[in-house]
This record gives sequence, C-alpha cells and structure tokens, in this order.
Amino acid sequence: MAEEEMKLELRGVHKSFDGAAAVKGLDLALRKGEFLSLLGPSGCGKSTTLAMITGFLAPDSGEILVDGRVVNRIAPRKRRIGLVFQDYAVFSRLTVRANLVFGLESQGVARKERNLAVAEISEKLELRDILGARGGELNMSEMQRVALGRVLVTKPQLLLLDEPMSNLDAALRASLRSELKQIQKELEQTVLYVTHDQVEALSMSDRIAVMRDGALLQVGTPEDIYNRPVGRFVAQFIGDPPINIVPCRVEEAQGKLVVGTALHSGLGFAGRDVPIGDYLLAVRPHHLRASRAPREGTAECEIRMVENFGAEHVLHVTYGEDLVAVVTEPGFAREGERLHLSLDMDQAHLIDPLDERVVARRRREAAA
Amino acid sequence: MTEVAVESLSKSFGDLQALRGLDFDAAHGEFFCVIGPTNAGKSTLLKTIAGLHRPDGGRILLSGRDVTRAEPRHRNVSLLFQNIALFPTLSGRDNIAFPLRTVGTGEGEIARRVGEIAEVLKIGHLLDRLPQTFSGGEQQRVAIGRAIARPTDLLMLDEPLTNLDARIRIALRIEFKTLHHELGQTLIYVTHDQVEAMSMSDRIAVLNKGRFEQIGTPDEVYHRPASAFVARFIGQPPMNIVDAELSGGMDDPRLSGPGFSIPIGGIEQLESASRLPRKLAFGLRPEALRVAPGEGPDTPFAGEVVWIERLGGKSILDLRFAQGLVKAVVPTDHAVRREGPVWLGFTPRAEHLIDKESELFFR
Amino acid sequence: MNETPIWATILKRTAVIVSMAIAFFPIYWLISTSFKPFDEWASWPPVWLTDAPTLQNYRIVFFPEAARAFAAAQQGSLDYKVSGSAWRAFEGSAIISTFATFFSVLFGTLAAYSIVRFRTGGENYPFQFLTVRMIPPIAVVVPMVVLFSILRLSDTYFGMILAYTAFTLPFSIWMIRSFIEEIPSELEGAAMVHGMSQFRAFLTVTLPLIKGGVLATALFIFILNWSEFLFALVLTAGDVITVTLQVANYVSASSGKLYGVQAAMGTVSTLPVIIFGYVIQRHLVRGLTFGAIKR
Repeated sequence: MAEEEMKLELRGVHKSFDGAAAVKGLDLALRKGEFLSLLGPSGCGKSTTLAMITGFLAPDSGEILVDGRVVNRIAPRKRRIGLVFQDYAVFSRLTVRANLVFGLESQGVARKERNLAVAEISEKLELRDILGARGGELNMSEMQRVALGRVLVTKPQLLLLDEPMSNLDAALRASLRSELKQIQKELEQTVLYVTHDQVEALSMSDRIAVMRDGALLQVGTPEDIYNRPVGRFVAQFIGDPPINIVPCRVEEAQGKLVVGTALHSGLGFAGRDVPIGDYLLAVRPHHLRASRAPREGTAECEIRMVENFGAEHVLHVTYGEDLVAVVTEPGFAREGERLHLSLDMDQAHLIDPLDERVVARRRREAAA
Repeated sequence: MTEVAVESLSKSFGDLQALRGLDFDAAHGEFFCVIGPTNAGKSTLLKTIAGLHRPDGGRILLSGRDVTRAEPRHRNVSLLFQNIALFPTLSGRDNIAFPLRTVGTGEGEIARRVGEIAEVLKIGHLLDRLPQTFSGGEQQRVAIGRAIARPTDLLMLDEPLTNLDARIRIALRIEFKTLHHELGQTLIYVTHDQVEAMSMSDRIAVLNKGRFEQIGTPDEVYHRPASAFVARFIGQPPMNIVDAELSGGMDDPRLSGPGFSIPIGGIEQLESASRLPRKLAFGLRPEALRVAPGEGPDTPFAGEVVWIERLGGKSILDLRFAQGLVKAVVPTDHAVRREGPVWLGFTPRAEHLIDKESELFFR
Repeated sequence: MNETPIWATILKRTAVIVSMAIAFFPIYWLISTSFKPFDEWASWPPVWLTDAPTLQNYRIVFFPEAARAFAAAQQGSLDYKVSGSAWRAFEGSAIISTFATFFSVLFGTLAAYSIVRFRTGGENYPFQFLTVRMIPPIAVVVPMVVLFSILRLSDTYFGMILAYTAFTLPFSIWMIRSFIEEIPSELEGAAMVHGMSQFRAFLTVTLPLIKGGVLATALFIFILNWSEFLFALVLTAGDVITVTLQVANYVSASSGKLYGVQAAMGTVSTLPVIIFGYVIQRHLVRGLTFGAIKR
C-alpha cells in the first residue's frame, strides 16, 4: 500500500494517566475511502485514542499522521479532521442551513464558496427540503444527516464518529446504519467509527480494529474477525449470540488428534497439530446442530431456557457443567425438553486456556 | 391470581398527556415487558404504579387492593429507576440493606440477605465501596440488588440494561431471566430494546405516545401484530411495509404493485373480508422474503441488492423493490454474494394486510 | 499552538493587580485607620501607615471609661451619642442575625422543596419572590415604620428578626431551590418506594446532599443581616441596637465623626462573619452525587 494513500496512521502511540497506561503502543493505518471501526468495551482506550487523533490530548510518545503529515504538534482545528459527537449535537436553535455553514464560517471561508459548498452537500444528503427547519425540530435520520453535513462540508481528510448512535432506540439504529453507510460509500469518505456495539462494527466496516485495555488485539475485515478470531476475547466479543466456550481435551487416537468434551468424544479435528492437553473449545451457536431425536454423533442435553427472537429461537442447553447456546427455528422445542446436540468441528476453534489465544482451527479455509 | 391491574390510567403534565387511559393486568409471577420508543410514557407508567405520580384518572390495583391513593411505602412494590439513583453517601452494602433497614428488619437478617444477594449478583467486592467508584455495570448490579433486597408483591425495572455496553447487555439478559425464575416475583420490565423484550418476557405491551398498541405474548406480537407501528417496532430488522393494490374480489384475490403481482391466500378468514379497500399496504417479514440470484418459480420478481450487512450468523440484504427499499434476512452462506440485480419471491397472507388510514392490520 | 504575546500577558497581569488593589483598598484603610491616633484620622495629606499606632480606638469601643477619658482630653463635652459599650450592639446583632438567618434558611428550604417537587405556585413563583426584592428598600421604610408601630413591634428583638427573615426569604428560596433541583427526585423516590414517607426521604436523603449549599446560603444571608443598616435604624429606638447602628453613632457635636473609633468598631465587627465562614467551610463538600446518578 503506497504511503500517500494512508489517510490516517498511528505509529507506536502511547498514553498514560497517573501512571496507568490507557493506550499502549498503538499501530494503525487507515486507507482512503475506508470505513474502519474501533471496537471495544468501555474503558478500552478507544475514546482516548480518538481524543489524541483529534488533538484534544497529546500522546506521550508515538506519531499521528493525517494524510501523510505528522500532526502531533498541530492544533485540532488545523488537522483537517471532522468529528461527529455522541448524540450528534446539532445546534437546536439554528436552522439546518446555519448548522451546515457553521464550520465554514469559523474557518473564514468566503461567502460564495460557503454557499456553493452548502448547496452541494445538501443535495448529496437530501437536506434541500429542510434547510429552513430548526435543529430541534428534526427527526433522528435528518439529525444524523445534518451532523454529517456540517462536518463533511469542510471536506475533512478523515471523519471521526464517537459512538453517535449509542443513546438511540434500538429500532432507529438499524435504519441509521444503512443511511450512514450509503452516504459514506457515495462520498468515498474515510471514516473512523468508535463503538462498543459489535453489530454496528460488523454491519458497516471495511475493517474492524478490536481494542482491549489500551492495546489492539486484532485488525481485519468483519469476516476475518468473525471467522478467525485470534483469541478468546475477540471470539466472545463479536457475534450475537456470543460464541460458546467449553473445556475440552486433545488426545491422540490411532495416530490422529481427537478432541473430547464433557459430552462428546473422538471428535475429528482437521486443524494444525497441537500438543496433547487441556484446551477450550469455541463454537458459535449457529454451528451447533440440534435434533429432537438422537443421531450419530449427538449427545443429549436439557433445554434450560428459550430466548424468543421472533424469526429464530436461541436455546440455552446444559452441556456438562456449562450452558451452551444453539440457534433454531421458532417453535423447535420448549424449556425442560431434551435435545440432541452435535458440534460442527469444521467451524470450531481451539483455545489455549492459559494465554487465551486461538491455537488451531480447521485447516481448510472456505472461500468467502 | 392477578398481581397488578391497571384500569383507564391517565396522567398529564401540563399540556403533555403522558398516559391516556391505559388498561392492563399481569398475573402473579409473570414477566411482563412494556416496550416503546423514548418518551412513550414507560417511565411515567412505572412511577405512577409505584405511587410517585398521582394519576389524573383511573385505578391501580395491587393484589386486589385499590392503591390508587396510597403512598408509595404502603404499596409493597419495588422500583429500579432508569438513572439508577443509588444513595451516594451509602456504601454498596448500605444501599442494598436500605429497604430492609427502613422496615426495621434485624441486623442479623440484613447481613444474611445482603450476603445472598451479593453472591447471586457477584457484587461482593462492591459492598464496602461508595457508588462513585463503581463502573456503569457495577452500579446497575448494586441497584438491582437494592431492588430485590426485600421481596415485594411487584418488582418494576425501568430500562435496567440500557446504559450498558452491548456485550454486557447480552450477558445480563440471561442472568435476568434466570434471576426471575428464581425470585418468582411479578416483574414489569421496561425497555426500548425489543430484542430484550422478545427474548425474556411472558407477555409484551407495546406503548406508543401514552397508549397501548398491543398486548400479547412475544409470538403474538411478532406473528400477528395489531398495527404497522408494532410491526415496525418488533423484529430485527423490522417488518417491511409495502404499498399495494388488491384486485380480483373473493374469487381470485391478487396483490399487485410496481414490479409484482401475486395471488394472496386467506382472505376468507378475515372478518372484514368484504370491506377491504383496493389500495392498501401489506407487511412482509425480512425472513419471509426469498432472494435468489436467478429467476425461478419461487422468486419471480426483479429487484436489486444495494447493500449487504454481514452480521456473522446471518446477513441482511438491503433491496430496491416495488419502488421502495425492503430488507431481507438470509443465512451467511446464501447464494447472493454481492450487490446487483436479484430475484425475489414471497407468499403473502391476508393477515398481513394493513389499512393505510388507520395503520391497523385487517383481522 | 499560538504563543500569547508578552504585552498581552503584562496587560492582563496589570489589570488583575489594579482591580485587586481597588477591591482591597477600603479594607486596608479601615484596619489602618483603626490604629491611628486622633489627629491622623482625617489628616491631609493622608497617613498611609501610622508611625504611632495606638489601641485607644479599640478601648473606646469596648470600655465607656475610655470614652470619658477621651472626651475629657478633647476638652469637649460628653456629647456623642454612644454612651454604652459596644458589647450591647454585638449582642443585639448576634441575636437578630442568627435567629433571622436560621428562620430564613428553614422556611426557605421548605418553600424551595415545595416549589421544586410540587411545582407550588406555578412556573413564575420563584421569580415573583425575587421581584419583591427589586423594590428599593427606602421606598418601603415609611410603611414598615407605620406597620411596626401599629403591631407594637418597634424596637423589639422579635420585630427585627421578623423583618430580617422576611427580607432575606426570597434569596434563600432562590438559592436553595437551585441546590434541590440538582438532586434528582428519583433519589427520594427510591427512598419512598422502599418504605419512607416523602418528608422522611427528604430529611434522610436530600438534605444531607444539599448541606453544603444550604450552609453557603446561610453564610450569605448572615452577611446580609449582619451588615443591614437602614431598617435597623428606623425600626429601633434604643432598646435594640446593632453593630451597624453603633458604628454610625460614633459622632460628637464637637469632634464630628470619630473615624478612628468607627474604623475600630468596623474591624471588630467583621470577625464574627469570618469565624462563621471558617467554621462551616469544612462542611461545604461538593460532588457527593457523582457515581450514584446517571444523566
């Protein structure tokens, strides 16, 4: 990747507060036109990272480059970065037009150019009909577009969004996601999106960077992160319902490695060879097969709880001492009934219980 | 045995009518969810049942007693507020012990109960600290601990998971359901997240602008929504609503629109069969929409995929169809892999027909 | 990052020093004059710092014999209005200010709670209270005097306490109201749901949280009461006397205003207020609700 195409680069960025490291040696690069999500739980350092990129905080060490230029010493307003806050923060007393023009006015852009830019962006974001409405009167979709327009009109090199949808009704978030993504694709805007919600990250991103305790655990496409997590945390953080993790043991039988769990034994494992010993087996709820009658390779479990999601049910069943989740069609079974479960070992991961890294998964990687 | 019954409950704040003549009841031990968008009146409803607001009209009955005029402390209910409201000067332990101390429970019994709760909610390490040192999730658990400390007839939780990280929410969903099993208390649970409501409750009440649009089991609300509002609110992604025309009378009823025309079954089972207008709308669940790369008997209509949301276990296709946008849910390994033209199919039933004026489903 | 030009910094610093000098000058002059001998009280050119500091002014304030000695030394008659020692004035001010502050804060808190939680009186009620205070006090002097004399409240402690409570009530309501508004009603709601009556919830939950604000209001009201002059003048006739009146009474027909004595009296009378402020500052704690409330 040619260096000039990188809109954002973080090199060895480090930040501590009162002796505790909030961000540890972060290396990240964002290509032009890319939508990258910075995903992690509260306190993982994503907000601190965002503050350093915008310039509100200075890193203790490391460099931040925007469009090839080191910006560590450059004031926030000179970095050509646009920031959209949580809740969008549209000025409720100003009209939509006044909101859009705001950033340009503070930069001292001439009136003719301002009007041209506003006309262009309101066309692209379909805001022409509501230019005269006040910020406080808008619905959420309009508010999102106005907040975006206000920032995009200044043609930033990089657009940063700080959990903008986290306080919104769940129903709204789905439609706003589509709209945001369409706008980003059309305008080919480079976006860094900070969130704790893995659905948002999976849905909109070209790549996801998973962060925990100040460090990047994994950076990759949504498909990479979902199907090939590097460790337990990433595996459990991405995917709803969360991945199942049960203890298992790898042994040798007739010259091949087999996996045994509380309820299954002699499971073939087509992954890389690993030392014999105790591990954790991670399998997604979608990769467990449930049947009402026993079949070859199934083990009997009891259904403890049924979660009704309308289009599908998630059954929580006993598996030895643990509970695992399996996805079925609606009405498949009820609480208290017994079920016969088999594991799709092609989709399973072996995790080292000590360092929690995924040590092996099926060797055969299916094409995307 | 009915634990809670609310009759024609109304409450206004100045010009704003928060509750407009609400009726519902919940049986003993039931997990009853009230869902709705922000400002639908959910918090007001809980506070009125608890006695913190005086209703303008209607009655509230708890375990058969009329408590409409009773003070909160005489109603034997427990309420967890949306903004948590832990007492900032009291430790975690004292916060949880508060309801027990106020009614004069002995210190020995209090210590035992607090220990039990700390065990279940895994908050033992928070007992001797002050709320300002807790994280969001920890505050939530301690607040829940306080709400369940003293077993009451009715437990009410106002958006207890809303402010938490998505991952913690998912984990706590299961814990809640298990906790409810064990407590056996009648529970009214308020949320704006219909996934929570669907997965945990015995019955759901959909509240919109102070009125109930529908009360029913999760299956009822999902498969037989009463109105377009309910259909759009429940389900992830929500039900698609498409404009169409009905033709052919009772002999050969057909549903048509831009780019599709298809027979529709089940008209004779509708009460209002004879009064169906020509122009109406119909609801189409995303998982009921069939999508294929090529034309076929099951997928006779042309459409276009404009975006694919890959969510790991399933994918959501944004489709241009019938001069609008609809969403379809397909498994991850579905044949349609990229944007572009595709072919769609569906099997409409009369119970999915919607009256465009009233926005109600024809029944 | 722009560097502030050096001249801007100098200008800013100078402006601060000048304003501080202007603000503190009267206090400096007061204390300095209180130690000056008679001939330096009003001399020109002014004496900034006396070479011959004396405690005579303080002695006159507290000991009537010192006053007589002073009059004799001046060869004038004992013709100035103050005959008694200042102790009586301190006593008077103490009683009136303390009780008036107490009642003002007490009723103010109850009224503020009612206004915030029950919306008593509607949207504009608190503002209406404040508009009463916008009337220049001098405008109501005559009606007050007439009223007090009809009610036989003139020159009584009870009357003064009543008047001061009434005058400061709008302030205490206005200030305490803002502190109560900071406390979400859900905290009381939680206490009520778990077994307390509303009043008990207010006492156990809300009151401790606004303690700092209430004390700050009390200090403010106390200062208002302590330094009040106009109504102390017109509503008393000699039985009741406050420190403000005492200061004003240090004049004589022959010697004019006894500035030095007034300065001494003024200096001493600031002490109770300072002590009050010092004592309560430990209780002015902020940020108690952090971590218990989600906004």
